[in-house]
Amino acid sequence: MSPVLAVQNMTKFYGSIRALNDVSFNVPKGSVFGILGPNGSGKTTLLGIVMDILKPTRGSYLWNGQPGSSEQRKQIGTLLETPNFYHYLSGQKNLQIAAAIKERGKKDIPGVLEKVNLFQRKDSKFSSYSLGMKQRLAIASTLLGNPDILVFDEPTNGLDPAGIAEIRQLMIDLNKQGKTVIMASHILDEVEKVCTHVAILQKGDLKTVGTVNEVLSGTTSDTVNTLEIELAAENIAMLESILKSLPGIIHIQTNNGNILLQCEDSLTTTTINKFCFDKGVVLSQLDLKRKSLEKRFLEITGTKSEH
Amino acid sequence: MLKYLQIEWMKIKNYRVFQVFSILYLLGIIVIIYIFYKVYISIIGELQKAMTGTNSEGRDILGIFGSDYLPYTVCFWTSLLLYLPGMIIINLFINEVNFKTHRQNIIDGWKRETFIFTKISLIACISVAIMIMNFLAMIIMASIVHAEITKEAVIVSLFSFLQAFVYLMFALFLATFFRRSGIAMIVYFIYGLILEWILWWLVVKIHPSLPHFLPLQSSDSLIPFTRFRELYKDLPSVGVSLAVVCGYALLFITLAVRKYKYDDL
Repeated sequence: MSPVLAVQNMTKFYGSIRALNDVSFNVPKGSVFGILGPNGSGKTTLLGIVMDILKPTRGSYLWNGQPGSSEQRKQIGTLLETPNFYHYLSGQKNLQIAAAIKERGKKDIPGVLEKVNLFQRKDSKFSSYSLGMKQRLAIASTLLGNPDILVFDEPTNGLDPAGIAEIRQLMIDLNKQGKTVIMASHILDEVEKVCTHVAILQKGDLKTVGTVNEVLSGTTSDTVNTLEIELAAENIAMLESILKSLPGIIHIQTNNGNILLQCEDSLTTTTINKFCFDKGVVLSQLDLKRKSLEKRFLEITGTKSEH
Repeated sequence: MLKYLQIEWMKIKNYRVFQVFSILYLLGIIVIIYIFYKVYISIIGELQKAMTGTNSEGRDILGIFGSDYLPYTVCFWTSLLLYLPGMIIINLFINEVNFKTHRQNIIDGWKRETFIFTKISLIACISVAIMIMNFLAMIIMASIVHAEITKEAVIVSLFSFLQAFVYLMFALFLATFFRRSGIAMIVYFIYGLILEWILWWLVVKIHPSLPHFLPLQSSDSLIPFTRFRELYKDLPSVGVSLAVVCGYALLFITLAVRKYKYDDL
């Protein structure tokens, strides 16, 4: 089965500035695919290229195995960067224009406005909307025609906490209906909560790509992998002492009667348990810690913001 | 193309600036020619009074409102207002850029070519509307001065379509090129009202016919100022002028389409 989106060797220069560098990945059908990266990492540029509003310097892309076309874009609901509407027209009239371009009837409009809680304000001018309402109108526009593929660039921008939760739930619900969602975000929590797959970009380079679990556990091919294991025993001092002699240990941190171990992924909990037992220490706790995406992201990209 | 124009109409029909400028232009067409007529008649009346000492109403002694010359007189004066629809075109296009709807239309499923050709088609429609307005203005003026509408009125109306199309395409080209409303409008006015006259002055020294080959002047030369057509003794033939005007229209279309088709939006 061909991927919903295949990006192949995508490179984009703005003058001498390289925005994307030979980026390649596939978006599987039925996934919620997060494109994660700091500001200026190339997320919006990448989505702009696959939606034909930017021209790549090199590289290509395929939607459902076919080169990008206007007919395909009509079948994709896209919110790119900011809500783009005619300020002097009402929300409803703006959606009528979008529906006409997508060659969809007007019948979807009340439904999508209800879905984003904007029906009551449908006749208000777009210029009178708050930032959150503008964002919700843009999301309503993406839902016109019930497309199978949705592309969201920072979809929760400008929304209040309740709005953020609603939109995240909407994306999960859309995915449950079998739709493929591609979402660019710099909000790690959002990607971790919503996405099944993630690609991490930094300064235009693709740092890693895979399922969220693969990226979190570090089992993608292109990264150095470490594990975090939490241990406890009656004699913490002795446990710490013997662990120092275990090959593959990177860092030992004692913490409230526990030890947090950072080690190479060649070590397993079984190996550690047997090693401690053989040295006369019986473990009372042995947990393989799942890393947060935030921690993994910072490992991959470093800690500095990029503006 | 009709369905694209319907979408374009959905965009602009409720746009206040478009409504105001359109009404101003429609009123302006009638007002400018009527004011000119009244001033002209009054000046002639004053001259008659000075020469004969009698107090009589001025007559069209130059014949510029006669049946043969009325279409040229009307279209010459109404063409001075073409900068108004030019401003509308710049404003409408730059709005799309500012609101980023020019990107959203592509994202939603238009081809880049569809977007720009829809704008060009809109310009063609506005030019047709201008042509019709000019023709109506001729009928109104003909009824006021008791002249007849001749075949010449139809031909001059068609010329006014070409003239409007070139002026508006030039405006669209500047809008696609500069993407800033202020800059595009300043360049539009400076070129049309100052720079082309400087170019006229420069190229006329090379050859007296050359000014009639300048971008906007070429279309103006299709509708010279009525009775004084004889003054334009270096005017190219109508066939040559038509070819030059069509050439410029094609050039502006090509430049605007290329700019929009291949650039980042």
